[in-house]
Amino acid sequence: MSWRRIRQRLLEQVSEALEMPGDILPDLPRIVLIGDTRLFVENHRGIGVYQADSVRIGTSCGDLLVRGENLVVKNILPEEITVEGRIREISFLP
Amino acid sequence: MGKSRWGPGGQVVVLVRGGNLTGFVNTALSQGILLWDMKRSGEDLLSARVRAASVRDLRRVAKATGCRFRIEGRSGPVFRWRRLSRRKGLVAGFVAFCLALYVLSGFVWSIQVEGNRTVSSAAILQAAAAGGLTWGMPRRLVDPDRVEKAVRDALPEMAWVSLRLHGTQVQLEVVERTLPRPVTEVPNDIVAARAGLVREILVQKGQARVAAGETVRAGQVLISGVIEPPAGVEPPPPVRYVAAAGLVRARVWYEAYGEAPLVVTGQRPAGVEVVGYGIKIGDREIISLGPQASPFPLYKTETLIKPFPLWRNIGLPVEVVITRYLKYERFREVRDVDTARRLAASEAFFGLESLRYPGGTVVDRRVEQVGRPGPEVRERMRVEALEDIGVPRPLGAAN
Repeated sequence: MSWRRIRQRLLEQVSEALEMPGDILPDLPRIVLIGDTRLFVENHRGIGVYQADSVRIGTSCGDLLVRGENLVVKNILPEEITVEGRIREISFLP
Repeated sequence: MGKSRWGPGGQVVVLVRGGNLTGFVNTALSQGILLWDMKRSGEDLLSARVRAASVRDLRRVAKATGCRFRIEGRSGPVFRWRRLSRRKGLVAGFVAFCLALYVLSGFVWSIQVEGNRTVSSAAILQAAAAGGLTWGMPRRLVDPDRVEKAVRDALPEMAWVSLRLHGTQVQLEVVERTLPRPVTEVPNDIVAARAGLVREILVQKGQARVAAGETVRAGQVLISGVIEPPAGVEPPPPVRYVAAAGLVRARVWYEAYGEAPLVVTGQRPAGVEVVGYGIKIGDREIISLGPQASPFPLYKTETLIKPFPLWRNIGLPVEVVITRYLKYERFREVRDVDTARRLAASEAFFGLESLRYPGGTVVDRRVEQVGRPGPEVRERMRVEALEDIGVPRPLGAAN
């Protein structure tokens, strides 16, 4: 187990013991999906693949694969990515 | 968003071509270059928006990632201004238009005259021109006080003149003097409208011909418009003719009859009604609700037709027809003598009211029965009233 993974596990356990919400943990991606048309990803690590039918967004938990139609990266900022289009599927790739 | 998309330099649409497009995007991101509205337009094509100020940095990113890009479009105030500045004729035309509007708004282009009834607008405008108000003159040279005074001086019929400037429009509001009409006095007498006993006489003009306590007949001269000179003055002054005026209060009598039958038969509403509804389109009645004929042997109908107004006087050719059938019944009423007398007296009273002059006061009222009560009762009412009986009559008219 890598040092990063150990650190993350530790942080998770601390936040659970203190009953803190999970989204205050650093590095963990926060994903907000509005209907099937708009997706916000905070704490991302850049774009892996970008096609009109799929976008791969790097996160601390692995790559997030967004599949759909007419996908447009509406915004790309150091902290946040906004994807718009007809979103069909979201999955984490190990 | 940390940085504004709309920098002072505007934004551009770039079309990026290359195999490592994701590397291009991630490198741009790591260098703090904002990209938005990214679209894949082909296998190795990506279009995105970027601030115009970041294009130079983006070129470096493209070089590092082996991509190429070209600028497809520009938007923002700077580019718009640049485009506009190339069309010098348009700008010059716009400036000329603004200038012309500014210069031309400094002149008087319309003069309106309001409020004149007998004096023509042309005459007022002519008088105003003498005071320095002309069509097409500069606004700042209009002197309202001078123009108003000129119009008042030139036209004595004007009681009030007001000049107001509304932009390029001058409004001249005038009020004309209302001159009293010449009074022509027609000599007349005051004569009695009806017979009566004079109680009081008050002469405003003319000569009294009767005195309080005298009985007069209808048409008799009460106040004469002929003023005869006093006797014994030498030489006799001429006879004067005036429009006699004054008040002659006299006691006058009125009489009226009223009768009421002891037995009354007839028809009257029974207080029962049935309502039928129908909808009419044009001349045809199509839907009917409720009875369409009267269920009563004795009845009256009231029909109410209501149109559907849509808006103002535009309506549908559809009407609702409401028919009311009011039930009537026969009746026979036997009155006692007192009731019949009271009814007869009130009939007589209403008959009198229509005879009397307004403004008089009733002094005495008497009711007496006429004849014996047969099938009907007759009552006579006599009223004694105090009224002004004088009416004007031109001199020389027949008695």
